[in-house]
Amino acid sequence: MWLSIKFTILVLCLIGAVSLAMISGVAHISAADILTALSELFGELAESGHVKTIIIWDVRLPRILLGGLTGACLAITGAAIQGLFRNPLADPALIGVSSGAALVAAFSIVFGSMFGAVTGYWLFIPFVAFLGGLVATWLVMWLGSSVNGTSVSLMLLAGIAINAVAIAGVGTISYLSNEAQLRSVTFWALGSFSDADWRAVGLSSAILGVVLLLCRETHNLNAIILGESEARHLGVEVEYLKKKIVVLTALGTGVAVSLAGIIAFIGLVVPHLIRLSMSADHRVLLPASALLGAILVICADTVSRVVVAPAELPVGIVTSLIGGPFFIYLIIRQKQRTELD
Amino acid sequence: MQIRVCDASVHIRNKPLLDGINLEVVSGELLVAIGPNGAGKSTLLKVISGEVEVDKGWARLDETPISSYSLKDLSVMLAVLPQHTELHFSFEVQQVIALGRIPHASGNRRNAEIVNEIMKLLEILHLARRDYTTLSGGEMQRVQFARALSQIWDISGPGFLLLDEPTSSLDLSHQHAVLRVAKDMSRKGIGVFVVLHDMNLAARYADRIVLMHAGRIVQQGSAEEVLTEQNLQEVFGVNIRVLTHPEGDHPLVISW
Repeated sequence: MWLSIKFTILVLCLIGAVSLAMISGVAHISAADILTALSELFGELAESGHVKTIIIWDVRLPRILLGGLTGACLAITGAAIQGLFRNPLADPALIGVSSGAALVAAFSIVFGSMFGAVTGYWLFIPFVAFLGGLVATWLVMWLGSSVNGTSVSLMLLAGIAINAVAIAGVGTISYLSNEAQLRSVTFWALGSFSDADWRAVGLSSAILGVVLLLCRETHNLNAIILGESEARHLGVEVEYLKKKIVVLTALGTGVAVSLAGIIAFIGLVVPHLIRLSMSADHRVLLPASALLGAILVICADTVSRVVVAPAELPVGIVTSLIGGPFFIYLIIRQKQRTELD
Repeated sequence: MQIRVCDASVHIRNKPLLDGINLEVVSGELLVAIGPNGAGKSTLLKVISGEVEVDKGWARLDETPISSYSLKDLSVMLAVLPQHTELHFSFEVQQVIALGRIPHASGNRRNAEIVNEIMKLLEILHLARRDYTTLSGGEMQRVQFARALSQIWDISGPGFLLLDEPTSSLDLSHQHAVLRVAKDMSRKGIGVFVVLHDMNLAARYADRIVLMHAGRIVQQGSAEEVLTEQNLQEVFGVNIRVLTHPEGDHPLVISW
């Protein structure tokens, strides 16, 4: 009962965030303009299309949708990987999955430009970013796990190492690249939706569709937070579950990174907020995280478009500015809790 | 129905953990394993639960090797309470107990009823909505026991309950409460296997006791047969006197 009310609130917030994002920005767009744009879509798609209609259909809407889809992907994979690692501090960006993907993506931007003419090349970068994320996730799992389960400190240390190597790699690649390439590579380090188009929206909705398969594993995720052997005694095929979550996380994170760069802290903060305000039960946590992730990223992107208009701030900076202090708050809370014991 | 372990040996890197074990966990019986640290009690429990495979000999549930059952099939008749379970997420106590219902397709309503019955039985109803991560060690242990119980609470077929030191963090009254419930489960036809350190608890509740030492079974049988001064002195290396319990006919073990 309470849960369905809270879900309704989330859906309403999402609608609110989308509407707010539609009407905020450099070009002034009102609700009436949006209605005009809608009517022009279903009516004559004449070449005499309104400038505002073009802005709505080709700039703002794809950008908002890409932001929402990316946010949903990042939040839901964050929630799933936290369940798998049995630790609320596992965030794809924090443990190096995002930077692993970014390194490979940057590499293929700079050194793959010779294949630029090949049809379907634009799909190549998301694909290698997925592979980069996959390798990074396996590495963290391998370094952070022992027969006794996953050690948080080992996992975070492995994340630091992977992040350091990946950032150094991105740095080296930018050093070797020409000016045009440098701009695209810098974009990865900071995260931005400014290149959003309908092609990217199509790809990320397909990916979100696949990532939502995680929602079929919610019972198993609930079981595995008790521990791997406990989960087996509850009938969960743990090795299969691990593989599925790792692949889907790498897919969701890797493709998001390839389309929008590194957007930190969404995968960490969103599941936390849901656990605090709704439930830690994965049956609630996963879908609610997807909704809240979409809301937060759309809002962060709106902020990034508005605060320094007509220029814009990379959205990754906005999420880090919000997420960093929130992370410090989590640490303080944990500190107080252990001091109480 | 029974789980039979026959001539079972387990080695890890040439170090024998279990050596030539013969044991039966039978439906309707409460079997207690005692022995010093490192005697192989937990490993034996893992062999019975199918978590550890034997190098030699065999372990069978009703004539079929345990390893050939699927995890799903085992999970609807066999519940395990490990020594420690760590949980870092803020689940409510009633949610944690309900995790034991995951293998069953009994529906949310029935699951909630079962969780409620068990919480009443174990006197943890007041903890139902508490955040599990804020509980004391003893409370956590009782909640985990409740979770294991909920997994085999209303099964129609045979069932087994394996408990690894279920009373290690509990005060006296809750130690007895947990073993009373385990005993009741055995009377309902569940085969119960408990690893314990307290020999007097073992003497009070066990139908049969198995004394282990260095990966082998020293002796198994009734409390009177197993809990003798000679056996215990030999295995534990401390001074032991065995008296008769003033409130019953089972042995009373005193050590110093």
